[in-house]
Amino acid sequence: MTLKTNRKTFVGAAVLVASATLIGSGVSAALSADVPPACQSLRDTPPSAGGPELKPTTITTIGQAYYCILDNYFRGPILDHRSLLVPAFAALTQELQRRGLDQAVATLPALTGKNDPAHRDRNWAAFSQVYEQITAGLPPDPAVRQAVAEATMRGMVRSLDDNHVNWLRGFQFNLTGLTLSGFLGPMSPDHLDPAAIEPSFVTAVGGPALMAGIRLGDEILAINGVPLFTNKLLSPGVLQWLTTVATPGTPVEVTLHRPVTDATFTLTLMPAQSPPPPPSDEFRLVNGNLAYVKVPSFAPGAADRALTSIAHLHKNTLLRGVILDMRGNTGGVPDERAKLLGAFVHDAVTAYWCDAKDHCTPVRTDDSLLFVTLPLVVLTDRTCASACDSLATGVKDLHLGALVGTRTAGAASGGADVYALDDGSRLMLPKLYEIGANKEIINTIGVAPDYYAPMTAADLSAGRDPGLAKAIELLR
Amino acid sequence: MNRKTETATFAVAAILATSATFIASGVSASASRDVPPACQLLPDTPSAPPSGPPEMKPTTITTIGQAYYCILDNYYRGPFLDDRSLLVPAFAALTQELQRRGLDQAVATLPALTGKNDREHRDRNWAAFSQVYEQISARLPTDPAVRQAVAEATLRAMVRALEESHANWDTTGGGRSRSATGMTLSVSYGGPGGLDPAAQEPLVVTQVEPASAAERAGVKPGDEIMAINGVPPYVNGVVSPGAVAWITDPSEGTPIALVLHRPVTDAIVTVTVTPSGNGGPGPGPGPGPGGGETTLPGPGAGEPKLVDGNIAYVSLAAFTVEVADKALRDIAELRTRTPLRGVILDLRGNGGGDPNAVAKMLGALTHDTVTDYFCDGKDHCAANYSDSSVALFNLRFVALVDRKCASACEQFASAVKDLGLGALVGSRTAGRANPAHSYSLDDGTILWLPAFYQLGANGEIYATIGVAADYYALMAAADLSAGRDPALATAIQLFR
Repeated sequence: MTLKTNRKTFVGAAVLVASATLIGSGVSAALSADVPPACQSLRDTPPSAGGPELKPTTITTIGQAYYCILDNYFRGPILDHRSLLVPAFAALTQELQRRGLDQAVATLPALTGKNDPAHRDRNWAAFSQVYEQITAGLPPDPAVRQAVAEATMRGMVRSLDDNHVNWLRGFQFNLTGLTLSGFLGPMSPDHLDPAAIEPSFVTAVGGPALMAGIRLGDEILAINGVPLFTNKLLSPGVLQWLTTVATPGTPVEVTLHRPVTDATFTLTLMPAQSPPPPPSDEFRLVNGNLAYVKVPSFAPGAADRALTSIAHLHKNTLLRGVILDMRGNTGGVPDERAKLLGAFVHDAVTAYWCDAKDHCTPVRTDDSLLFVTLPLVVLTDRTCASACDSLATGVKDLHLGALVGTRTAGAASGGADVYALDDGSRLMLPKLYEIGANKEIINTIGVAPDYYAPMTAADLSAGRDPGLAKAIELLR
Repeated sequence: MNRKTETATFAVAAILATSATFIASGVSASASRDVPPACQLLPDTPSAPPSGPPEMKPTTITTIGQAYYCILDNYYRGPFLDDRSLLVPAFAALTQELQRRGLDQAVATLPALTGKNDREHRDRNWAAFSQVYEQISARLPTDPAVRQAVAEATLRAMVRALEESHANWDTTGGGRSRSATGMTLSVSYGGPGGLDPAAQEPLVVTQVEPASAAERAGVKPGDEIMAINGVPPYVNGVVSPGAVAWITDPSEGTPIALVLHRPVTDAIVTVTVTPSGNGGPGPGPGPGPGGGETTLPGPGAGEPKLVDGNIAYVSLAAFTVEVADKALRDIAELRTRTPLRGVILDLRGNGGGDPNAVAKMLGALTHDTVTDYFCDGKDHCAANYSDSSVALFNLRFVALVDRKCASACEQFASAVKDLGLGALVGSRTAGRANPAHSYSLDDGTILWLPAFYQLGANGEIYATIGVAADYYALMAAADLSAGRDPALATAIQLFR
């Protein structure tokens, strides 16, 4: 580079733009044909049993996702298309390389940065043209083609780095009956809790794991003889023995440390399909006159059930306080959150939903149900996610009670809508992003408890509940 | 970059620094106290080698603030960055570090931030962030190690949020040496801990440095690593990052037990490698011009020589002007021995360096040609030209490339490919593009930030993607083990 070079700067840029335009107009005839059919919102479609039939994922499916994100995701209007297409293409080339199938033509075409529909279409046309060139050079094996398409799709979806953006194709059954600590959501490396430390321990157990003799609080040291963590880092392939590669009838050796007995031993777990334990609402009196109510999710009707439980307990006892146990509540319908908060404060703004331009709409309590005037303690942990994060924010910001336990998940980008793609897969995208009542961002951060009372492996193993004990102490 | 460009760079930095000062004095009294002193641009090449590691001081909220403003002022996307996209990841990482240490606090809540992308809001958001940070740090235990860990987690997350291979925070001060085993692995990708997403099983030793701990232990190129301290590096086809870290981020003097499969003899070999403390100066996790990652020459590297009778073979370990000049002289010298049919330039393992050296090497292939572009955040692109003062080869040309050809090496490869100057043989390059400048912060650390993003001659992005080879000739473990070089063999074939 010389000073002369610098003077040519904008000439160079102009040439680029001009040639891009030329190329663009060259394909314009084919262009409209390249725009895939729009993804379909499933907002008003009741969920069907069994799910749709899966077809191969193609360039059309990937294009549907591209336009679906730009049209429906809250950041869509301000997204540079290149920020979708570059990660998608990088992931495509990585998949080719892992399979020893990389190609000389697998080069990203020139993309333009303008953020308007004409450039969206032009960039998509250029991308899909190269994609089709590449797939023409792939072996005919449908599994390879599917893997390449899935890698491309996941590269695009993951680039949004949003906990409520998800591409769902097929369904992964839990064949072990185990739930482990250290994950914000499903047990996958993608959902590893950055705040977690080893060891990972059993936080829920049922089905095959229970039959094998695994108990709450057991620390998972190794699977099939290989440590789950090495140098404090999770080994994703080891975890897969419990998740994606678990097969009914193929035994898995699990080495455990049980804190309550301080014993270390190895058990054999036989993966099998078993129905997940039904989420059970649980309510009871604790310490004589405190209402303890577990809210396992924000499924439709959850708020009503919780408040009915409080009313039921109140019938025979003069209550001094309410403990809402939100631990393990991974969210659900935002309306349920509004109803539950409405029992503790009326006519209040509990959060805001905002668009990409930061235009925010207040979210208000639903004051239609019972009004509870008792002191409140809410038990939280790292698995209180999404609508549960939002509930905790409302309680904290509006001073409705004390949060006890550990920080919530911070998986609270915004409520996601579900869209159908042409291969039978589903794309989840938030239309708005959420901030708390004090206009603070809780996504990725979570809500800090007022009183820190973590549930350790030792507590679980011994059947202790430090969070509940602290709540009782606070309401005494 | 040549001297004129550097001057321009410094001039821009000076203006930025001035305006930062000006704005700081313009805002309210409380805010001005919070704006930290600006980071300082460091020259691309230090005028004198550091006499020793610089003095490191504790990382404080002021340091974090310097990084915040440094990114917004100097990173090419800085002018368009939503400041929340820096502060939210930083705060999330802060809370994660507190949680990992069992030190989370009820007050550790992000204040409301505004989204406007202007000076006033930058300062206001920073003031709000630093206030909460100070509240949190006031409640931390007095142990300086804890406070340092919390500050590092916060600052590192802000830099990582940029998701740029050349945006890095170097806490070694750029001078401290690190321990090393002296081996390069198939998954090695950039600095310690970096794993190539395109790599697959098995884990292969691709290079062994002469006189290194690995060589002393008897490790050979092409060895497949079956177990590290008893742990398999791949399980179910997925790499276990913690197991690989024993090799890529070793502790001095702590022995590493390796079980190796050696393809050439089909033997299982058990060795113990004891990392030495002298891995050379830390190459810096992502230096831009003037600092590649390479410490080892490429797999086929050797002295300049004639292959297949009259093809010049020269390897280039890094893109520095000196190395480029020597390669050009070596080719000229080979030419005096015999009329050449072509030139093979071995760029495998070349971790990049100086764009001026790229222009020079390209000058041997083409004159007065736009070879690629450096672009700013507004997509205004400056063309780079080949150096026409270099004599043209006027010979057929092949470059050998691999996944460890990074940064400036890819700038060269993309030009060869896009302009049809020759053939690329081997495998795809690293995709570690976008040249960075370095800035010093008040704790003695160095922040690397890309000043531009790069496009190839055809206007294509190759950052994160890499440059595809024209002819694929993958170096399998069996080839390395047997001393075969399929890429060189393919290159020679192309000249027939």
